[in-house]
Amino acid sequence: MHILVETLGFSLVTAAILAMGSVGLTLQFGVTNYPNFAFGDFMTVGIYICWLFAHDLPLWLAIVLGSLVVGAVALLSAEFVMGPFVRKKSSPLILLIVTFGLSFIINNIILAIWGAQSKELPMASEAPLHLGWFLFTPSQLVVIAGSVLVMLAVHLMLSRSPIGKAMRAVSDNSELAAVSGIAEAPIVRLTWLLTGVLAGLGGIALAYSTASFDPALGETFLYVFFASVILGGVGKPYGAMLGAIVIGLASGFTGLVLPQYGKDAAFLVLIIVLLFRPEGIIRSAGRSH
Amino acid sequence: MSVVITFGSSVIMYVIVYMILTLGLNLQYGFTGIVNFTYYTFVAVGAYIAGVTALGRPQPGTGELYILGANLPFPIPILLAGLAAGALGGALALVVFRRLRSDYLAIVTLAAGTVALDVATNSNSIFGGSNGIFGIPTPLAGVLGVPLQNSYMVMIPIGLVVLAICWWISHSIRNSPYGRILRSIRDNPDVAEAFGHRVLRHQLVMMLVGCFMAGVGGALTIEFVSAMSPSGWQAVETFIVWAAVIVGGSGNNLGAALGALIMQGVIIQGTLFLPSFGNQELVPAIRALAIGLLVILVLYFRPQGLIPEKRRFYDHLLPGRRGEARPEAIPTPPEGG
Repeated sequence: MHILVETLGFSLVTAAILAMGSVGLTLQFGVTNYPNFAFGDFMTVGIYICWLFAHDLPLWLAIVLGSLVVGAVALLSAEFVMGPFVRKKSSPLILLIVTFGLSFIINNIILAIWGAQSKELPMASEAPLHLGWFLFTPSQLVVIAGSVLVMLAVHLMLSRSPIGKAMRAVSDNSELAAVSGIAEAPIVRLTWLLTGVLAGLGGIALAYSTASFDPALGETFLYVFFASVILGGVGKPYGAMLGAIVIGLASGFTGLVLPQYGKDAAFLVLIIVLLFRPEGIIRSAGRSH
Repeated sequence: MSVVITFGSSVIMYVIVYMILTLGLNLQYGFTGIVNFTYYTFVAVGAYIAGVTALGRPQPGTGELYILGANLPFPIPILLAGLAAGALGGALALVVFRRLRSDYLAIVTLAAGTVALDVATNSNSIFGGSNGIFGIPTPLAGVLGVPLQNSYMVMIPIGLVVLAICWWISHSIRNSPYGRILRSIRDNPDVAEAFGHRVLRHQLVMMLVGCFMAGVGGALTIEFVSAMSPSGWQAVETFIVWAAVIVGGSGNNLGAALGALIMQGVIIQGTLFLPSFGNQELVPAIRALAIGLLVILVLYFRPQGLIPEKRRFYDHLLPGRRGEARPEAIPTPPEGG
């Protein structure tokens, strides 16, 4: 019984990490209407920048800096790499190949600068805390609390602020949004900034949970984030949060039985969703066709 | 001198294999519009299957483990490799394609590849785990009495024959009515479906044929270099095949072959002599960076690739070609009706 509760706790940590990344990924996918295959490398950039500063600066500052740098990288890539193709009205297929190319470029810049050997974020050894039957390390609690705060902030932004409402409008139907006077370009830029910052936060949390990291970490987990996005329905941040919880639980309990295949449970979930509910668990017009 | 011959012939061999790979991907992406982001997984499957069917049983005590160990003679391992890769590609298509949008296809195939890599790395008893399999003999070397370091003398002719067959298959598909159906699926799957073509079935067939070529290419690779391990088929390898097809020109054999020549012959093998500096990964990373940039630049400035696909027009078959009045254009109905 203990082990099940502990696994539940561990799954919640995974879900918290997944939620931060996949909310960013799904917002961008919905607003720009093409998936970003460089998202995994955005996460890796965040990890390396955080690692770079974490030795000299307080950790929270390193995390903030790391996320902001990813935000800038996302903004610049959207402007100068994907932007020209968007202005040329290239098809979503060409755009997704472009992001695949961007992923390749970013990954190799990281390799060229820092090499392939794995590194570790500085981590104080900490005693696990018993909360009832749950067992968490303090940093895991920070990850969960941080993720809840981020989700709350995203929720408030989307539901209360005019920017968030505009973002949802563009995501739902960009032509209708344009007709009702919403300028698309600034909303798209803001979305990229946001997806970058969230990629940074998710990536850094991921690196803490895997203990060590290398340039391939983000790419290896990319499809797990995509699985939460598709499970929740593309462009639906609340769906992605729910998707993150489902994938977190699935991989946590799979890991209990098959320790090496925890995250591969995401693939199974992905296939089941695509077979039976390609529009995601929250129903609206089917977007996968 | 012999060093030059050995290096030169290995470059030729790599280019031949790569041409087979680009022809296969071109069938999927260039002809049919299938976004297979895990193409190289099928190359690896082919290599592994060819390896374990050509090798004998694993020796106890060496710690080497793998399935089968059938010790089959040439050319059965190459055929089995193609069949296994093709069957796997078909199975993937059967389970997940379901008329998905291309971006969903990309995500699913990418995920499938990552999982396959996880399985091959973590289960030691299938394909040797993270060590992979090694010591695969050159086919016919014993029969012909060719020393090991001259395996290219056997492999280049075999490779050329396989390439010729793949070229012929691809060429025939392209120039047949079937090729026209595939192009219609690529250009607009909904319209193709509306005209009664079974999009899913044709995509499935192209996954079979394309992945068959990938598997055969993998088999030739492992018989030439004699080893395969998970580090040899990371996601980046798939991107390089894609890069070759896009740069050379998708939708036609010549373009795909030119892409293979540029990517393998010039960019990858041609830069092996560059002096190494900085950290160990610096030179390969810069080379990869150049490939990524090249793809994005080609997509922007020459999206059809260096050798564009020849567009065919059939309006000479329509009435109104010879001086007669053309039929009135059908007015397009207003949107959203």
